[in-house]
Amino acid sequence: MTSTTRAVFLLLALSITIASLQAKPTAPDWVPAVAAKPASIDYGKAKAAVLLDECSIKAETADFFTERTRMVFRILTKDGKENAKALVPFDKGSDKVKSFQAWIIKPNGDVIAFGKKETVETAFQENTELYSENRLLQIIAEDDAEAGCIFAYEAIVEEKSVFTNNSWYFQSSLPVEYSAITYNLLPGWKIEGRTFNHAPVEPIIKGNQTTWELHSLPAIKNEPLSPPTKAWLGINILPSTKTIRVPFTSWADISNFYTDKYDASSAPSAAIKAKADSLVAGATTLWKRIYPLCRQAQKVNYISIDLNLAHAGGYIPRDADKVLRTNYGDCKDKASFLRALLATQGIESFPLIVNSGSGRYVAPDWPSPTQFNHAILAIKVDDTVVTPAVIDHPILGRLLIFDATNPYAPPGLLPEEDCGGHGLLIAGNKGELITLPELQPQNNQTELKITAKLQANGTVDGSIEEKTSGLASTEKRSIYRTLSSADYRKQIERKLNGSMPAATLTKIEPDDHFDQAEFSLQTQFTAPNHGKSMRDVLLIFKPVLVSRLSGASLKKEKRLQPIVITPESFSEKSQIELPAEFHIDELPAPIELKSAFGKYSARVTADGTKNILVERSLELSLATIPAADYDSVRSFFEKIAQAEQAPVVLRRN
Amino acid sequence: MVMAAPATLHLIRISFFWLCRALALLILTAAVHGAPKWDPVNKDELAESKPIVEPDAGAEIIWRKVIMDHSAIAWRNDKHYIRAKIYSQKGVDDFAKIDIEYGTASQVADVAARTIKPDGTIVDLNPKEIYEREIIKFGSERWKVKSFALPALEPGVVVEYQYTIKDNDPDYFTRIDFQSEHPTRQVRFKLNIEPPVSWWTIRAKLFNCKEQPIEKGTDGFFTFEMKNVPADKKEDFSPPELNNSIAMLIYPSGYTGDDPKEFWRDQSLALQHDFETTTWQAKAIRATLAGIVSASDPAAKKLELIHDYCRSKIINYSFDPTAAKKRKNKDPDDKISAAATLKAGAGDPEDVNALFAALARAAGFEVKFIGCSDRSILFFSAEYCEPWVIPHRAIAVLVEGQWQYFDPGARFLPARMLSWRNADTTALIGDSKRTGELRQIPGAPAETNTRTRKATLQLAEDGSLEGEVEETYSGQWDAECKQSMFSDTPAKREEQVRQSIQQYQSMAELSAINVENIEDPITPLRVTYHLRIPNYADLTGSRLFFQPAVFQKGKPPLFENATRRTDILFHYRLIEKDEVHIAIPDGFKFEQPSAPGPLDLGELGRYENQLSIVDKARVLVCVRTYRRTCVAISKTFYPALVTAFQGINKRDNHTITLKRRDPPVPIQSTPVTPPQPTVTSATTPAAESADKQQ
Repeated sequence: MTSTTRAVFLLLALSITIASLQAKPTAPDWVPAVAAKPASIDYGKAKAAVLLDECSIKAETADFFTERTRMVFRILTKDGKENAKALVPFDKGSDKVKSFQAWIIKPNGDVIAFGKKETVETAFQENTELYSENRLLQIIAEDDAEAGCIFAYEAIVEEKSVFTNNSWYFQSSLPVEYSAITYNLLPGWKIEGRTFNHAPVEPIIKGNQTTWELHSLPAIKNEPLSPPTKAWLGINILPSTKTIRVPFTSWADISNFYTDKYDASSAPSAAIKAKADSLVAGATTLWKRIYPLCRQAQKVNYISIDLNLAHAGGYIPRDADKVLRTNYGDCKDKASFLRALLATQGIESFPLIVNSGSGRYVAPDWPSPTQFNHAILAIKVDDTVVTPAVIDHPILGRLLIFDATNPYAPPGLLPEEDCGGHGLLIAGNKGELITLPELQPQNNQTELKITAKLQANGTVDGSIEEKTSGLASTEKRSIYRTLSSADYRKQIERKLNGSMPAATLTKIEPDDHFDQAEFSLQTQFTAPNHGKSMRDVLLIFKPVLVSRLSGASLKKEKRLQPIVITPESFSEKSQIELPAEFHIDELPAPIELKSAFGKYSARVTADGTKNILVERSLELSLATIPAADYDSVRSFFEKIAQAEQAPVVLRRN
Repeated sequence: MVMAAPATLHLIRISFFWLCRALALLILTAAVHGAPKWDPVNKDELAESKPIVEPDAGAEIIWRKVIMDHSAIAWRNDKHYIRAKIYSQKGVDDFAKIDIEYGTASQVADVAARTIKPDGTIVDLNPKEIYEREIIKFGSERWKVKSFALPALEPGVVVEYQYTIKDNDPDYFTRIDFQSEHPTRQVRFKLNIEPPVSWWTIRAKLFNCKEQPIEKGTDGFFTFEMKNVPADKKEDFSPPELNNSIAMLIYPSGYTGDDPKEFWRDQSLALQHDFETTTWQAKAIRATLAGIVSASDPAAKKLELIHDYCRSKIINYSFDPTAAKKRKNKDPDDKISAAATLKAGAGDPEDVNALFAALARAAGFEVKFIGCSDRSILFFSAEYCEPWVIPHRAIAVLVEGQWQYFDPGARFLPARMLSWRNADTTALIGDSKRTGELRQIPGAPAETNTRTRKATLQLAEDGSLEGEVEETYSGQWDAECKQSMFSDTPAKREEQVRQSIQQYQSMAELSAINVENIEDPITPLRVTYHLRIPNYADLTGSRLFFQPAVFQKGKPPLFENATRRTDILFHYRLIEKDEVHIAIPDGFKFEQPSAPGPLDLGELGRYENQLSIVDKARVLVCVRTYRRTCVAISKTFYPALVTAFQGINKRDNHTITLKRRDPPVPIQSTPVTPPQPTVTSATTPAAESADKQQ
């Protein structure tokens, strides 16, 4: 071999080696660096741990921000593989995803890199959504992950938005080693943060850079009936130069920002006036004028279109005229449409933005529109309008709070998801955070009247009259209206089967008194084998024919979070005729329970020799019980469950 | 500025002429496209207040018309027109948003919609309010949707909408579904379909609809119509989806003969050809066989050893996604030889089966490929002269004059057992003599598909029940559980076990859940856990009442609905056996215990629930056995089936009473051993006979 040939071969071999070295994927330095750190907390039985959860936001200009997200997971068990996925939501209308990559470092050090080829982009697909600019980039690496590996990803997104508020959640359902958010703003701009569910986190400031960080955070366990307890930070940016970004330092700022936009979309047109006039024709009182207009807004089909989100499009309604023409819209469209209808009749109203479902956890000391997800309406009323949904506002006077999105709650009744929460009144300078009416047990009532006859063969025939009022009626109504009559019957029968397994309905008569916020259901049933014969000497049966056991059972375990009790009221009176061949041998002992959050009583008594009477009542008040008292709460509900199961024993004469 | 030369100007003029023509055409086309044609409004439809096909419906499709141009191989054009009447808020909710989904190779055009109010007012959908978006974007693949909300929608209105889908990557088949999620008064499909070559023919298979002429009309279209079609509703334990639908399959077919027997003869020869080409006796096959079996092994053992080898030593790509990713690209139609599978140590299920066949062949057995129909997809009919009706290949081995069937590619099935999908149905036997034999493959007997649960539990004075549970599985049941949990993480498997109990006893607490052998093809699945159920027994001042059939508490009868639309199809025959030992609390004694007695279910099977009291009258033993011995039941027997399962449910709910012991009495001078109580059936002979009659 000549030296030239040898050189060619050597060069070739070298280039192959270099190529193979280059082909081997590597992870960026920050990934192994994070992975090399020892655990600072006990991960317990966690399936994975978050080693790094970091977001770094840099103001490139007054309008454009670049947001870099980095996350590193240590996969601890086979189940932890499900965390080997990178999810980056973005707004198609305003954001640009500049880069999105992920890596797995196997326990043997091998690296698998994921990039464009493995990226899936999906739309947020809601049933009621016609269009949305919200999208999600995903890299799913579960198949390549294994216990002991590291999964990391980085996303860089360029965003342009009017918002100056952000929230950062330090904790998750996994233990977190390090969680931080950093802002690198333009000179002169200010930033402030408020910590919730944790002691205040002081920012670390280096020049224009501000960081909030927390270390060694335990996992937050998901417990039933618990309030949100994850540590989080509310952030406000205060620009000092001209920008499209709108700073909000007070609730009034937010109110002022949205007032014009709501006013514009709820400007009444001739068509709206004509519609409203036809609806209120002949109405003699304020309530009679308001009521049909509210009902009209409820009849608008719920469909949302999310456009221009970065410019607060998610908070700005479509024109009321368009809503009238199409008869569809989302919550803010409905509120704005109703506002326009009311305006034509000289009735003033104010948009109210709320957090549906979690309103009571809105942080009053962090003015930010991002705390809200729903729009309803506050209608100015006089003393003649008396309903549980009216509040007294010190400046604006009596306000009827109405949610047009829930078609099952009549005007005058606030749906449960809004009750007791904070809402922001959009009323220019007068706009402020208000507290919505609290749910009271008397507005969430169920009454049962049962008349039944037990036969000697164990069959029970009878009729049930269930009358619900207030919020309890909305739940019953929603089931009734959304199911076909066959499915509705099946559903009611299934509920009955919870306490009488073989029961079938022979008659079912729902009666919806929507205007009175009442719903009645009369049923007749036959339940073979409800009473069980013991060698034809004893006959046992459970006198509680309709169980109220709920699925959200409180298990015997150590509780970490408080327990939130929702108000309700229930009462039952049953009369059960006994078979003539038997006499009472044993009745369940009466039970009386009293606690800080409620009371329960159940009593089964003999009514002569032929009948027994069952009287039960439960009343729960709104309460948040500390985790330390969990056992007493659990015991309260367990005793109710026990009482519902207690049988009557009859003996053959 | 550069002046154009005269010749160039002429060209420009010509171009301008054509441009104008093109623009005019475009405008005309746009005008045509922009003005959708609607059928005349029918005043009677506007005035209607009640549905016709199904009285319970919230909305009803008045008509659905689909014009399908499937004359080309490369593309298809389907034009849809739907008119519906909205009767209630439920109907409003059902029609509030219309989504037209389509894939990368498709386009949706000419979307138009309108709402006609009861007074005749028409509200058109504004074309600007039709939204298009990509639901999924992955590489060059796109899955899109065009969505619109019907305007002015409320109960009482008539809505109609139309659109055209052009598909540039069509399927081989044209499936016509007469049913939709809404009841439909009239549905009409007009189809133009041409065979790809002149000597092919167009074939049609009809499912649950009356015979219709498969002939083109003078307009060049096949026309299929149905009236009063009910909404498509699912039922549990129903036949395959296609057998259950009101539908047609229409497709070009290369088989032009009239005699199905001839078709199956050709297919059996083709199957045998595959057998010969994939199972040839390479040296490696014989060498491997020598390492698996010895000459002295009995025939049955030899086959079991080969079967276990193929299941446990060969990587099955269907169960190993990581290995499957690494394999070389393979056309699904390519036949891999058994020797190649052996060399790779991996293969698809059919490759594994071919290796089994080659090894069995090398061991001296007569072996054949069989083409299995799949009763989870379609009930077999010899009239369906298409290869796709026998989609799965398994192995038949002749052992002592009896054919036995194997499917090691299914991984979790034991030897001599085919999946329920391929059993109790017909298979084609591969044969060089072109016999075209179609053979009924027997299903596995109940004894081979079992679940046994053993529980040792303690009942406490407060009514709670606590103890250990062990579940073991075999046969189809074992394979089905493993298959469903195989790709789950351990936590999800635990959750599945937890749910199996909590589904009916929400208060039950399961801990120390251990799921063993899920990935092991040979060893049966075993599940153990600690069970605690608060308030299991019902309490009175002096008594405790409890149900000995712990696993059945709260469970409704298997069939509850009063009526049934479809036949009942179970997957396989089975035996479920529960043995529950319940120790009673101190201070209580049994009060006149009784047992519920058996229930003979005729061809369906048998139920037994035996109770006995052991361990000095401190422990109740409940042995519950349910044997299901058939897999298909006609819907005409549904009422009897309901009664039978109510009978089972009644026996499952049988209750035992414990009575608090009397206050202690002075100890007698001579100890007396109390007689062991016996539990007798509480069901009288008369009652038992009544149950049988039901």
